[in-house]
Amino acid sequence: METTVKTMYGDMLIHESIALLQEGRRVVLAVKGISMHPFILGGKESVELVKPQSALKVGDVVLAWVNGTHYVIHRIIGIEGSRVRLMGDGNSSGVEQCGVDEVAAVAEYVIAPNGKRRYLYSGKRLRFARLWNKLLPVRRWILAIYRRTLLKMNFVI
Amino acid sequence: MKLKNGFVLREVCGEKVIVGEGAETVNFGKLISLNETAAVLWNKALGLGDFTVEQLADALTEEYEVNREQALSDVKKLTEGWQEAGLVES
Repeated sequence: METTVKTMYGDMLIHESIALLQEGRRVVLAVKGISMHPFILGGKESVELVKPQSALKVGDVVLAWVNGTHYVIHRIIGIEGSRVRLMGDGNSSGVEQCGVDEVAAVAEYVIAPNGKRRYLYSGKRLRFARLWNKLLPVRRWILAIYRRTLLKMNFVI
Repeated sequence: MKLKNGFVLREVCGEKVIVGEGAETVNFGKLISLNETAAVLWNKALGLGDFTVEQLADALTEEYEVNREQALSDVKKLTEGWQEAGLVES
């Protein structure tokens, strides 16, 4: 009888999370992958999600069912009518699309392994997110340098 | 010892796991998985409130075909794991 601390991912867990979000509860979900560098360290950090409380905005980091195929936790880069475009901060290409009603939750905080919470929409982070968006043409190289240097020190925005 | 408030046994993706849970927030970020037997003992401990290794070992021998010595050893190991994971308080 072992007590094992573990991290779970996957659609089933996301569905359970969405059911809880619908009840008005907040849900902390582990994030995997590198697609939200340098804002979220997948594999180490989690995000605290809430059901969207108001109209979605460009810059929101959301949990969404995209392209009719899978869930992502990525940032909204455009909203046209009822269609939403998303992209991972840690990606230099690859835009996903979904409907407004396919955005299941907004990520408000990132939670580090030591339990420390970072608000994703502080003035500093919002400014950096806007700058990061403008840096898209050169993001690939910045990310490459980041992953070889600052990431090794677990540096995040 | 007793189970700390704020931890709930849930079935998530077909597995029995302990989830940190408050009135507002459910934390799926870090889960503690329990097998069937450990889950039975968790519920027993929850029902008892203050519990001892001996009490859980008794429950184990009542529910499963295991001798008391083995039950004591298994429960001791289990509760040590719970302590390490911060699930129980003295």
